[in-house]
Amino acid sequence: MSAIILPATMDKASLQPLAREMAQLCDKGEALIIDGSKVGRVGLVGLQLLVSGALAARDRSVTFELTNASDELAGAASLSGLSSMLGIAA
Amino acid sequence: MTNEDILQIFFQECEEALGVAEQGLIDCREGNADDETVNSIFRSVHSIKGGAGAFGFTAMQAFTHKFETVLSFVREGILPLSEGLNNLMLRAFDLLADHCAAARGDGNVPDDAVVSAELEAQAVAAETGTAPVEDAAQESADADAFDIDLDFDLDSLIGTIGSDGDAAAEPSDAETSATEWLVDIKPLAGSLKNGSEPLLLVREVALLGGRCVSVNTDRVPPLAEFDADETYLIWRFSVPASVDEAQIREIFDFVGDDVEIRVLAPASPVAAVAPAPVVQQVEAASVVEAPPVVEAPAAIPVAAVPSAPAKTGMANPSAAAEGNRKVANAAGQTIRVDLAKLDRLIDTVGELVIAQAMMAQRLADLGMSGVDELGMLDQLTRELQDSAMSIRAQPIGSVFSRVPRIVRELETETGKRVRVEVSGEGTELDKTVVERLGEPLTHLIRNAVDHGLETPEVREAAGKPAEGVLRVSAEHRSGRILISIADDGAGINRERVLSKAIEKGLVAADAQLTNEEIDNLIFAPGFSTAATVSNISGRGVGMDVVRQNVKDLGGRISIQSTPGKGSIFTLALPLTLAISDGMIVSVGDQTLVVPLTHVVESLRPTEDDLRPMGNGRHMLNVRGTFLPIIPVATQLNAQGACTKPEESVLIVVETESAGSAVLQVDNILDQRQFVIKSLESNYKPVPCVAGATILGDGKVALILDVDMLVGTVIGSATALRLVA
Repeated sequence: MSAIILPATMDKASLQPLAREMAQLCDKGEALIIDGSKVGRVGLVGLQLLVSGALAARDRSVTFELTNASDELAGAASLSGLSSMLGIAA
Repeated sequence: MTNEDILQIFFQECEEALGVAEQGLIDCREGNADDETVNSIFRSVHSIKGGAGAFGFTAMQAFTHKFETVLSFVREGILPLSEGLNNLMLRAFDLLADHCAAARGDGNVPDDAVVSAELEAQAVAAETGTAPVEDAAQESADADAFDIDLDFDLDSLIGTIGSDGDAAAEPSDAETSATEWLVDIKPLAGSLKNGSEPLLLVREVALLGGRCVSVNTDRVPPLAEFDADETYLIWRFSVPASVDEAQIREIFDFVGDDVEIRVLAPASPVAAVAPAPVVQQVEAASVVEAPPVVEAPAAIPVAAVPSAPAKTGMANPSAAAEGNRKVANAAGQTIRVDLAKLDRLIDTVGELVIAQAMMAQRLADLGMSGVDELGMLDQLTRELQDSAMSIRAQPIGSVFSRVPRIVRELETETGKRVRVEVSGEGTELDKTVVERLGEPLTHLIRNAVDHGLETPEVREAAGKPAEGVLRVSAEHRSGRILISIADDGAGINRERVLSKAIEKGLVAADAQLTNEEIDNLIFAPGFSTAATVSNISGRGVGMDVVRQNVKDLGGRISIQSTPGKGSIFTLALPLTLAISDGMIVSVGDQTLVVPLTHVVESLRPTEDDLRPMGNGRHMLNVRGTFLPIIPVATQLNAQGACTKPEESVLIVVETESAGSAVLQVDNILDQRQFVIKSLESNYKPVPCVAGATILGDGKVALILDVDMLVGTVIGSATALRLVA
């Protein structure tokens, strides 16, 4: 089981491929293991994608795990009130 | 600027806000409302509430608060815009207007207990869809939170909550709202344009000490439908009460409609109840999110989001800020001027018009009337006069804005259903005319609803919609303002009017009257009776007084009525009371002015056009209708006037009180604008003379009171008319 590695910049261009990849894993019933260690910039749409992934995993009863969240990602999630939903320790 | 000045500005802003709110409420009732309509009503009421609080109008503040609460539920779609709710909001609006009037010292503070109770009941009803706050919190913990997060990592969440204990210490939404602002933030797709980043706004709120209370993820789509150009999250932040509301709104100053925000005051009961469905589910998240979010403001890594500053990085302001800015812009483009200064300006311009006319006369006497500079001066004088007049001009909307309320009251009193259609509110006319128009207009509207429109049952029996239509309109036409009050009611019952007039002795029992003449009988003094005037339209003001009011404004009123289809009352008013157009005529040794408003046509008659009536009086045949000829010289004791109609100039005039007639004068000298000077205030009232003016040659000319002159001579509108 390999982790999806989030890019350094979670911009619009990078999100659509990520969404497809996460959807495919969910469809296969595989866990969503996401590595957030490289994230240097993330905005609203990036967080929304992660929320969508978390909700999809819940719906498919698969594991959603966001590991090694960078400070930037953790900070944005915390600011947005999404830390718990994304499983990021504050 | 003194406090009194600021207070006056507040009152003016109240009027503006009330106007916006009322139009919005009418749109709601008519089913023409959209989200922005409700937003505009909310902003208006909110604005009044803010000012009321600042100036200590506590009753008004308390009432607007309840009103605003219901509006917030409507805005969120929790309370549907039913007919009952629309009516309640309109009643609330009326009371709010009364509160504003009371604050100005115009009347007592209204008793709003009943409507307040109904508003509170609506708020409770809105809340019924969700559990009380405490229960909601519990429910969040028991159900919603589990429902959302159970499948994630329930154990770790519970562990997190249990381990640091912050969740228990975290104030509930209600507890928070008692001492803090609640700020709902809903970025829209536009907020992502041009690299803008809504998180920057959220960060700004956090920097004010705000913390995320909840985040709504309801709109986040499945991965397959995920769109990176869309926004899905909605936040609720709490911000310390010590922060000024303006500071919060300032954050959203430049993001316009791209971000919807709602700021709930610390004491707001809206905030004290369970949040609306739109954020309901998020409250669950708030419970589990609480511990990390508490630390959010200090922990935000600024570099985590694109670095453009919030206030410059966003495209537009919030809707509320936009509204505020529009007000500010409007304020910046206008100045308030003492009316007395304005009147002095108008007077001076009037004198200039006279001086210019005198100079033109003098030059003409010297054979220099073709001087170019005179033409320029004439043009400039007219432009200056028009500009000065336009300063005094006001949109008639300030009068029309009363119409919906009057009609609402009448609907309640009469049981009739009325749809009001108002047009031409932006039509401008002189401030004095606007101010004095209110009473006659109000009476005409009351009359139209009370006497014109039928009850729903009668209308349906006649094959009409149960709801009657009242159209109130204004328009410029030929240098005058035409105001129409039209109803689609039963029309004037001429048989009844005529019998009443005969009974009252207003006309002879055998009088042969045209439909128009019968219609005009309702303007006859003393026509109003208990039988025809109810307590609604007969509040001591008969239609004769309405006509007199209109006449005093230099205007005329006319009726068109069709049985079964309704009536139209049309008021023709001058643009200004200060300057008017007139026909300069000579009568013996006098020069007189006939206001053009009365003039239909002028002619030199042939002998065939005239028919003697004895006693030296004549009638003029005007295309088959004989009209009485009135020698003006006789009435004004002018010396040396021509006595033979066939050698005179005849001017056909229309009057309100006495129908049409013909004025006999010696000659028509000119037709021009004239500045009206009051004879009454400078000398004394003179019968058949409405005022005076100064002509170009410096002489004073009397302005004929055509109504009185004709009425005096021929008695009444119905007295004389023969059909050829």
